[in-house]
Amino acid sequence: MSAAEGPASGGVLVDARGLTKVYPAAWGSGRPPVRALDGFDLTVTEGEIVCLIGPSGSGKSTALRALNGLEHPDAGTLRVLGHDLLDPELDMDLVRADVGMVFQHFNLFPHRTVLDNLTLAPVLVRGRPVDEARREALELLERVGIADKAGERPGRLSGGQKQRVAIARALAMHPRLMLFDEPTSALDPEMVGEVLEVMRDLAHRMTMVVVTHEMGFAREVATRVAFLDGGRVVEEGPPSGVLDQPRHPRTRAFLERVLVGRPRPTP
Amino acid sequence: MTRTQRRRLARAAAYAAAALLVALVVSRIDLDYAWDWGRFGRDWLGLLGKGLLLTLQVASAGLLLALPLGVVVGLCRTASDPGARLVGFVHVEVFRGTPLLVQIMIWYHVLARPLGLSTFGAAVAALGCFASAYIAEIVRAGVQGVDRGQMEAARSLGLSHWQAMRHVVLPQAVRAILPPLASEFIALLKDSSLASVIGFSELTYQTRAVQSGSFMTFEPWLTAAALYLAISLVLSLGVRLLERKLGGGAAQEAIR
Ligand SMILES: Nc1ncnc2c1ncn2[C@@H]1O[C@H](COP(=O)(O)OP(=O)(O)OP(=O)(O)O)[C@@H](O)[C@H]1O
Ligand SMILES: [Mg+2]
Repeated sequence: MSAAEGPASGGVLVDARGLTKVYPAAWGSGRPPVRALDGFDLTVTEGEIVCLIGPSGSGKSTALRALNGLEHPDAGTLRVLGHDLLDPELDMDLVRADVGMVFQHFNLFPHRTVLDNLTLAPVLVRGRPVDEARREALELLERVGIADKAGERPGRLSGGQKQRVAIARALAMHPRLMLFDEPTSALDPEMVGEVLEVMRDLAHRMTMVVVTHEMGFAREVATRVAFLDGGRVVEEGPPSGVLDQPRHPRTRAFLERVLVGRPRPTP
Repeated sequence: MTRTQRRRLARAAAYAAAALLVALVVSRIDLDYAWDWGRFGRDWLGLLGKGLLLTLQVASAGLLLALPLGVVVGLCRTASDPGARLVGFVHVEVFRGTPLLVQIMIWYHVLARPLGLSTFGAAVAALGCFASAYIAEIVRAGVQGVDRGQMEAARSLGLSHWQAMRHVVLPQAVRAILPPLASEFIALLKDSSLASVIGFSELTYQTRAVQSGSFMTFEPWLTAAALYLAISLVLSLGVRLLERKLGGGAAQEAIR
């Protein structure tokens, strides 16, 4: 085993350095190519809850999706769980099995029951016996408060329930790192709370990177907030610093915009 | 005149025109034709039956080749590997871009000897490859019609591309794939009549033989048409049932 495939050293689960990603312009569109990532740096150590915030198009999703290989950066270095993600020889499926991902639009498998959504990957990828996987899936559903929906198809669930199933589905693989891309943005306002509650609960035992517009959640749960603009982190630190005393003018302008109409935080 | 009235009038006019056209054609058919269903049934129907059997054989064998080949080629076209995509592209363009009649001739005259194919084998290969190009496009469209997020979610859980395809994407694509697939099966059945040009004695070949042997024309050709139609209807109904069976449960929910 070479050093490149060794275990994560010193509890560093994510180490991204100078990532760039350019989307070529659509052919014949006449528009310039998009620099979605432009010198993106991020380190995440075990147990941290890192919230990525920033304006639309700042590269939050691209950065997050790079962490489990859904996007391939053009340059830079990227180590996740000790694997070099930009090594073309790397078996990405191995890394993905240990990195959970929760999407804005849930992406549950509509043709399978809630329970089968949870057991599919443990059985196929980990080779777990079906009954064992089912037992554990039921425990997970219990934990996110929807054990009674185990036999339903996802189409019958509310948005909040869907997202809780999606979180449980990711947890069923026993990931070492969880990625969330705006997990509450597609939800009706009254369902945001139940999903954040599950994430808050999870935060005690999991390392998480969360793209979010929920500043309340970031303030309360994040150990670190990173503000992205133009494909790079322009400011990061504990939520009390970045959210309450932003130093960068861009951060200040962004926070003023998203916090409009909401009660000013009391530090 | 109200809109409904106008619409009713237009429909009546269309029916009348269609009826007139049919009547015109029928009235010009040779009324002196000496029908002899008795002689046809006694002396010649058996030959058509033999042809029908071979039509069923060559069409099903062609289908058995076309279906797996078409699925594989269609999946190649959706693969991330550029080599696989190129192979899929070339396959589809070659077999879709040349007339089936020409392909049958090439299989029979050029490829049959080196590949050791019988006439039956050449016909099956030609029909199967030809239909597989269309099936590949049907599969590709079906797969691409499934939300990209499904593949991403499956891959994020650690499934390989093929595991995700097999357990997540394809089951959801099946509903979109079935109806055009039924049309393709029927097209394959009808196209098998072209195998008559290489002397393969399927239904169309036998019908021509009956015509020249008996000097009857109406009975054999109308019978052949009825036989083709009967198989097509069975195929249609079969796929419809399959659709209903799949549509009742899982796939129906998937639409929501
Ligand atoms: N597949 C793609 N093809 C072309 N351009 C893309 C693609 N994906 C993202 N982009 C562009 O890259 C930039 C960064 O996109 P990204 O989705 O990472 O932003 P974001 O910060 O997540 O924004 P949002 O808050 O709207 O989700 C944007 O300008 C976007 O238009
Ligand atoms: Mg985004």
